[in-house]
Amino acid sequence: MAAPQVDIGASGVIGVAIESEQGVYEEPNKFFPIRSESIQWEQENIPRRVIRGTADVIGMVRGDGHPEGSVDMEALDDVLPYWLAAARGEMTKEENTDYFTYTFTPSSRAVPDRTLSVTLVRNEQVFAYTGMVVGSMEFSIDDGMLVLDVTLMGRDEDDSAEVPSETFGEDWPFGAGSYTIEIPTGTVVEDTDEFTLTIDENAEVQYRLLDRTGAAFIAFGDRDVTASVERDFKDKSVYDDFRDVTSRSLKFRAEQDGEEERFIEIELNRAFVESHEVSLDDTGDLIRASVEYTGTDTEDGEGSYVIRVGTTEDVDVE
Amino acid sequence: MTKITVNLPNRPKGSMVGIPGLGRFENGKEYDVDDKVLRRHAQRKGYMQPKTVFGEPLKKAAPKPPETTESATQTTKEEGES
Repeated sequence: MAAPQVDIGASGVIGVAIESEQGVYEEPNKFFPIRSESIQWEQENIPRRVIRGTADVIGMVRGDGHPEGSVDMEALDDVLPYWLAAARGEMTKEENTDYFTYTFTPSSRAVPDRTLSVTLVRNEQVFAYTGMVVGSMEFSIDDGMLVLDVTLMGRDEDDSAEVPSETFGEDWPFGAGSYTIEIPTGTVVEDTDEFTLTIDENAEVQYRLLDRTGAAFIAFGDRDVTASVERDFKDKSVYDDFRDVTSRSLKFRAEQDGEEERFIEIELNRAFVESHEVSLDDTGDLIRASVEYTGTDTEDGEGSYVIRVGTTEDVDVE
Repeated sequence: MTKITVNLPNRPKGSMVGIPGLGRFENGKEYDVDDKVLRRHAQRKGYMQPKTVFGEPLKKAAPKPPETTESATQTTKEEGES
């Protein structure tokens, strides 16, 4: 008896392409390594439980469906612009001598400017999700490495897609020694070991009465921007900010050592302390502060945050 | 041997590109790959035919406009006669 043809997760492949026409599948032109993914086809069929002389469900009617899930990956400068292209905001591209700088600023639009085709190969089977947008992003440090968790929602799946021919660049993730944190911007703090920044657009799938399956589009709702840091507790300056409701700007920058053209920089323009916790946990424990910030729009309407990416990747975002 | 093209427009020319099952290649160049290796790669991927272009085909240099000097015209004529 032949062995079952089953692969392990490591054999999987993910690739993306910015769609020329929203919701229309395009073969991936960017492949990248990930740590895990959980994109699923979500569909709620309607059981036919009716009065017809039987206690059983007598059948099932097709319900609305769409792809949704998350991708957990190393935060790579050559990949981030693709996610930002399908996030809620505007991205500009500046060409430098031998690299590009992408600047992403959030917008308040309900629908995205661009969508992605996300192709997944699982056990040599292709899943070609279309109309995918970024609903939320979370940057964090995992044992010294910058990681990114992206949640995606999309419109449909293209069943005609073929197995792509993947190619991989050799860009390296950001590790220990790559980071600078400024609170407020311009003042470097070196007492932080945990950093998490979450941008959640509260995206929701939108179904309409159509002559085809899948979602009509994905709509963005309220935006929530939060950042949390763990710091050595030295004085009450941040605690006072919390009590006085004083806003600060925050800047996080990861830059590859010796490669200043490769960086990811995130700045919260105006952040308020949402919570400040400090306690005497145990006799041998350092006294540390857990601080959570909420990012808010500025008085000038610049938006709550800005992301800048330096990379050699030439992403077509015009 | 079969000639393959590795040309990813979104990656810098000359940067290294890895293709699982085939090897590492310089972006923007053509390579000769052993037919057996290419067939095995295609089988593993489930392709009907081995792929020979990874990314986009290389743009061939446009033909040079005809020279207007006398000697160049003569050279063209000679080539045509032969």
